[in-house]
Amino acid sequence: MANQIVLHISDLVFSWPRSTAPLLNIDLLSVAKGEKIFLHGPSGSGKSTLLNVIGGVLEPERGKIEVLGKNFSELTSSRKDQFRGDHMGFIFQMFNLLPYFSAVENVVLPCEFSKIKSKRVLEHATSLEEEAKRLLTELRLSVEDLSHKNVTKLSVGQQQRVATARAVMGRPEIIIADEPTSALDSNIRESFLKLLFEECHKFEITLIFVSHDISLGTKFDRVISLCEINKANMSGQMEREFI
Amino acid sequence: MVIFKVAKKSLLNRKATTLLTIFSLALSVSLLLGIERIRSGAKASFESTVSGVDLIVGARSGPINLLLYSIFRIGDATNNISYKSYEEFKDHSVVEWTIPISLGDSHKGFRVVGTNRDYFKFYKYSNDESLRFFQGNEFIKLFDVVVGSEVAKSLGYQVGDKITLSHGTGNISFQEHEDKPFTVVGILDRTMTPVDSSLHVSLEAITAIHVDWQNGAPPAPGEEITAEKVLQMELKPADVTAFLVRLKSRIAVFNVQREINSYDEESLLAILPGVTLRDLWNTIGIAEKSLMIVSILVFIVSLVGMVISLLATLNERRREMAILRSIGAKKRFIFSVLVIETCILTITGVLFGIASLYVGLLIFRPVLESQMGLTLGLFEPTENDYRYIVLVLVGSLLASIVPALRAYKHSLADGLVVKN
Ligand SMILES: Nc1ncnc2c1ncn2[C@@H]1O[C@H](COP(=O)(O)OP(=O)(O)OP(=O)(O)O)[C@@H](O)[C@H]1O
Ligand SMILES: [Mg+2]
Repeated sequence: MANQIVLHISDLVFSWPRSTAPLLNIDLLSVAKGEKIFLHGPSGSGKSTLLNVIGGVLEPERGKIEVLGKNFSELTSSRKDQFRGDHMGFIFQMFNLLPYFSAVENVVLPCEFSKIKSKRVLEHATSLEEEAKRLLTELRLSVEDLSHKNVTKLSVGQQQRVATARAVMGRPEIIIADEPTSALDSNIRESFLKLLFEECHKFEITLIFVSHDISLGTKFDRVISLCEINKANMSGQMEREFI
Repeated sequence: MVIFKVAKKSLLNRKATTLLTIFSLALSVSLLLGIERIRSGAKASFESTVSGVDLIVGARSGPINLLLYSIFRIGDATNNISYKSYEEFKDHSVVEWTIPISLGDSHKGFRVVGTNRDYFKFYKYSNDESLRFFQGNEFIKLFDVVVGSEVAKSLGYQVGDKITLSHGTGNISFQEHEDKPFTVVGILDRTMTPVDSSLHVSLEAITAIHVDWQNGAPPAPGEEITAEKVLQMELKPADVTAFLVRLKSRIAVFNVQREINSYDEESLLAILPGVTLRDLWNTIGIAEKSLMIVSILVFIVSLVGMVISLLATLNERRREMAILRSIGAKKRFIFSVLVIETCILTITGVLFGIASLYVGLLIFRPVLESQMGLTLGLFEPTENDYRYIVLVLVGSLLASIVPALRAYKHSLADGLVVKN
């Protein structure tokens, strides 16, 4: 069980439409259950693009993507959307929350898109709201405080913690975080990471964490440099971005 | 359902634009339905100017002309028909009753109608309403006159007042029949039809005031016949302008019409009032149609306004859509959110539009009725109302495709991360 493969990518080639050369060309990327992966690379190297491919939002040119044993090429795009809703949680750099929902409503939302997540929550909690409040409290947020505030009025650190609660809600197998800490001050960054790790550890969630702040890498099980696994980077397109 | 929650909350999040959009939709819907209501009300009261009459007969001219002078008392007959012809059809075996009408005189701009007492007995308007007296009663004596409510109101007449009639119906150079004054013996109730603006005297009275006239000219001095003398004479009308016919059985109407139209003695014209009323309405209906077109255009403008306001917010909402996608929303969810938002906007707009139409009707109905004689139904939506509402809903559903498709495309291009 310990070495159960959660994500397996082989011979992946991805290019954006209207671009001449492929952006991603990855021979092999395999992630085991419960692993915490740190993926780094310079800006424009294709990190976010890779996460979109893993999320089933972008279609690769060729190659095989297997998530939890499901081969993505066998799924229609709407089945992939459902799969993403059922088994993944996302945290982005900023503006993670729907501005017209309260914090609790934001956290409950994934369960409204996924019967699997909502079933999992209700195995342990009496209601979705209760679980959402529990998670928010666990992430050191005062539910009482949040209920009076529009989510856009929360501090960035608070917003990211609400987003984390939402990603954890319903215990997805995989959490994908795209630079969730880069908008945070360095002192909150540490505690945020700690909370995120705690949640992942508790539910054996596999974490794929993207950042270009290499100093964070030491806290993870494995550090992957996109430039090293991506053969497509030989082209001149990255240098252009650096100039 | 989560999609309705998202659509609802996102609309409420943009309260000002949402309210403005609903307001403009409501305004155009109530305009659309209001004009339709006025149109159908005007048409209905127009078509109920005369009721219960199977045929109108006059000298041969155009059917609309005959209808105009016999019922609406507009314009003049080119010819009269002889009393003999009238009597012939009056006593026809299938005829139940007739009302003779003799026109050509006026009183201070109001038309004088020479007729007989059957007028008060049989004349019907609206939904088979009979004429009723507000004051007094029918004419009995030769120089009695019964006036319509509008005549009494604007000239301030009471029963017992003495008036004189004028020869001719034009506005210039009246020849007064001042030697033969009439007494107001009755005032009719309001009917909202041209009856209100008419004065009614007997056919004999019409004969009497013209008895000393020669070829349409007033008597030469010395040849006048005084009112007292006229009372002693036996007055037999020589002609009538038109007559209304009611048949014992409607089935015979086309046969009788054909019979009258091919009458040998005199060239007559018989028309079916319903058919000619409709023809007349259609010829004057251009104004009505252009009103309708304008209100449809207003509605299209408010649809375009709604689409523009939705499109304007889409850029800000790219991130919102990306978040929804990351949570597991399918692409069609993004499309549907915008369609549902449009539906919520239009349905609320339509409901508010209908509500404000009814409020407007409640307020303005009495005014329209008393000032313009327009009776509008309140809670009786017509078939056209439903047609317009369906049109509005289908129109906005089609319009919603524009922002929905745009959001869909954005979301395809963005994936889960919005660049900016
Ligand atoms: N929607 C898109 N359409 C076309 N090209 C895109 C799109 N999104 C990204 N790209 C291109 O793909 C390349 C990689 O972008 P990506 O966002 O994956 O980089 P990244 O490694 O996440 O960078 P950053 O660290 O700045 O977030 C860039 O050259 C970018 O211009
Ligand atoms: Mg990125």
